[in-house]
Amino acid sequence: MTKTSKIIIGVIIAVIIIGGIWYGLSRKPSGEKKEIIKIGAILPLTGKQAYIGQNMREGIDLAIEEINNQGGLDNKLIEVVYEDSQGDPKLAISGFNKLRDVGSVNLFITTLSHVTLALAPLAEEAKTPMFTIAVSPSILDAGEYTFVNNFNGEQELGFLVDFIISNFEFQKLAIIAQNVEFGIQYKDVLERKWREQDRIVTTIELFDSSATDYRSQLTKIKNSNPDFIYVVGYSSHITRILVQAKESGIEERIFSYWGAREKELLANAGEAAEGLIFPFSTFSRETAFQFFEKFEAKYNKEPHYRTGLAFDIIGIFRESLEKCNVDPSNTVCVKDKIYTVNNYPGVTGLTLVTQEGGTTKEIIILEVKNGEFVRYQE
Amino acid sequence: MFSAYFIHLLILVGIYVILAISLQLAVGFTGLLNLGHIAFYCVGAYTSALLALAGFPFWFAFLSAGIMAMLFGFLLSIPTNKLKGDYLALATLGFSFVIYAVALNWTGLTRGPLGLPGIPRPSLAGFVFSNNFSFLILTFVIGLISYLIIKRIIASPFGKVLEAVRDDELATKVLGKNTFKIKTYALGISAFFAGIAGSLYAHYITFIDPSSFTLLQLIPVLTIVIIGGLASLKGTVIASIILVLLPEPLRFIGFPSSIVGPARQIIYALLLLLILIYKPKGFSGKVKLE
Amino acid sequence: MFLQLLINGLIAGAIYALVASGFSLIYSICKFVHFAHGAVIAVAAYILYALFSLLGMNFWLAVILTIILISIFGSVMNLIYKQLRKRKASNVILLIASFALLILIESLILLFFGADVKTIGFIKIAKGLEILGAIITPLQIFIVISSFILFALLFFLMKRTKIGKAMRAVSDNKDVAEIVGISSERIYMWAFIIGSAIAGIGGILIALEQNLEPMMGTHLIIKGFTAAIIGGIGNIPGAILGAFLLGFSENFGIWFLPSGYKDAIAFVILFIFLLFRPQGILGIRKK
Repeated sequence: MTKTSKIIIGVIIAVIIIGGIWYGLSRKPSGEKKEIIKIGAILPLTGKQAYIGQNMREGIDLAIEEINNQGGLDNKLIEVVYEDSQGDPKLAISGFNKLRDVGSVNLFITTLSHVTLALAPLAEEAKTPMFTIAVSPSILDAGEYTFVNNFNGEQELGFLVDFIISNFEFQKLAIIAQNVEFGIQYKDVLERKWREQDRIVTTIELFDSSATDYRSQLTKIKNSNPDFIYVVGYSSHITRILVQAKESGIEERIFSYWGAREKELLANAGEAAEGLIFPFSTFSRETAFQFFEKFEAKYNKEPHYRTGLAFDIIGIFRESLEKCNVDPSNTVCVKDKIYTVNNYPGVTGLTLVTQEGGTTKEIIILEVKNGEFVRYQE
Repeated sequence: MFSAYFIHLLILVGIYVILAISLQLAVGFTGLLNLGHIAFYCVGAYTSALLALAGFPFWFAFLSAGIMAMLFGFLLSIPTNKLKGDYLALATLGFSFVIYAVALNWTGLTRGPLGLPGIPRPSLAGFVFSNNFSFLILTFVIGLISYLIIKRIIASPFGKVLEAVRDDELATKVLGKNTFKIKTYALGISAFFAGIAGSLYAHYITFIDPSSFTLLQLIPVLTIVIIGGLASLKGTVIASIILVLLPEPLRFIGFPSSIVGPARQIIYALLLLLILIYKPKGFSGKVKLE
Repeated sequence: MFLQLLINGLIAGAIYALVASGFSLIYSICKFVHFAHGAVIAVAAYILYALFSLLGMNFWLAVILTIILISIFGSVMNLIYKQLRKRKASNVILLIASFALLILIESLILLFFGADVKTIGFIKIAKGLEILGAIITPLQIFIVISSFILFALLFFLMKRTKIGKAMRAVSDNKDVAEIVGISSERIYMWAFIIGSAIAGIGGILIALEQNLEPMMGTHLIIKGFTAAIIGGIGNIPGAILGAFLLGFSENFGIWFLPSGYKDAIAFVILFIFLLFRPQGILGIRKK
């Protein structure tokens, strides 16, 4: 290739790229229609946690559709713009900035602890309220504009410990946790809470996100003779651990966290899932009948808890916007109103926003019985 | 003037330029195929973040990041000095796995998977680079200085010796040069700049955890170095700009995200493969990888 | 507990050996690091999933078809490398190309099958058999036994058959082999076909024992090449030995260390070997 042709190719590539970005940036709707309220959702739509983003997306879409079908909020329609974070903070920040610039977006939804922690300073600086469903307690300190619509580890595990103490005569606990942010947080909180009760933690085992073989960890657990085992990690890991625990002849009762409620877990772990106990929200067909009906009509499957959480986020935004004359650019007002949300009748239960920007919801205990998730009964 | 989105992309370009030209110094100019470059980036990011969180000023954390990464460069160089070709590539790759495992498991220091949130934005002489435009200028200045220093090194007699080591190590040795020392310095300097790139990243994103330093992060940097052309600094800079911006228009095309997500990796991998087959010297490279 | 950890190590070792043996075979003949071997294993697992779980094909038919398809896939991959070899690419270029291929294939799997974990539900979950207080499932016994049979066959192939002898000749000295009339390109092709067939069998067994996910190839090849380096890269019996050593040290290692270090154990061993004994346990140092 001659030098000139090289330069020509280089220029063409540069023009295409810069033109592409410029075109994208300039697609800002001319004249700035006032009738549209934009919400930005920065979710893991691809990659390992894509199922989380997908669950949330369905809930957001349903909520928006419902509001827009009723004529919108004060005649303003809501539009959601999605950005794929792929679980990578760098890409999430690119998405956030793009949404701010191109879409003049003032309200945000995201998830995953490390992505939320990376976005929180941006939301703070831009003074734009941002909701996440990630459960890591450190998010509560991340800033005034960052909110969590989910119960956090402290509440969930406090409830579980009380439940175990009042229903079982267990003394010795063994923990197996995924070596990622929320796994470590849950492990630490549970260990502290159990020891506070003057009870014993026999062993704590960790596994990497890429792990598929947990036998040696389970061997160590079995050898430490616990009364019960607590498992925390992605649901695919919990599934394999249940299977391998059964294959290794572990008969102790296994407990887990809310993320265990996945249909795939029942399908793939089969009998090994029997007797699994974990805390969960009251979210169910009985408590949110209308939501289930509408969701199933649209998507032809059962909604996930995360779907409900995302659905409720839109509801909380709606309620707060209505108290601010439906003006999304008045973000300080919207933020202040979110803090006043009390007993919001969401599909995931009555929701109260706390002073730290977290939420409290009612918690119940589920058990796997005959291949189904049912409410625990003594 | 510029939109925040575009500024963000330019900051990333700046960080990648520093990472890529420093890798170019090792791979292109000295002939050391170092697949562990991300490890130095990681060391720099953690050093800088931990010092800044402990209350040290930015300039101190920033320089320490470079120096700490350089020490790791020396450390890696001592045992790998005798290795060549694919053994060197594997050893450096293994090194980056070890560093990743340490970052993940030494929770007392790095907080492991919890990561380090709240890393302060840089401040120099009372001025805080809190807004992105000022950060871009900082990145640009540091990138420019790095470029000039590396350019200077290459043009110096020392740089000529580096290329001699790459082209024929034995002959260089016969001429009385201590190739062991030379390669150690080269890897150390390369690591220094990777370290400061890590520092910039940490202070820009303000949150780091081990997942930012996995094997996958190596692919764009390696692709830049090879596409830009071995032993070509200018080519590397241009390739950094093109490759960081290349996947961005995907955000505006209406493809479903299930396609756009993997497309980013596919673009990098496919480009790398095609360039290796059809233009192994890259676009303005001077030498072939041996 | 000792016996249980021994068995856990044996199972892990057998799986690593299935990865390492094909990888090592290709290295010994073609003389470059074929990282994309991990992707070959992942592709095999997904082919089985597509044939058996999606299309509902008979299991054994699906297994045979998977092995045939994956051998073809391996030879196609060799054609890409052939393009590079034609242009006199060094082994370092081939290494980077294989790295790019690994990422490319995994991203394509992600594109077509999605990120969610897949399971091939062919085997019923039940408590394993108890042997002297340690527990092992029938599938795991099958994995260990079939890996041993496979290694015996591979050994026989290399030592006794004509193609095996030609492979060894190319492995020892390509130029001399060419003079005697052995086409090295043809032998490279065979190395890829046989290596990929082994990867296919490995992929099938791993698919039954573990989950399928797009990135599984990367995790497996990291363990596979660690095993190959421990045993002496390019030395097939060495790679198998290295795989079992790796399996044992990982599983016994976490007896003493916190279990979060399980993966780190492999990396530290890899690094130590590369530094102090790059020729591995059974390898011979080459200039």
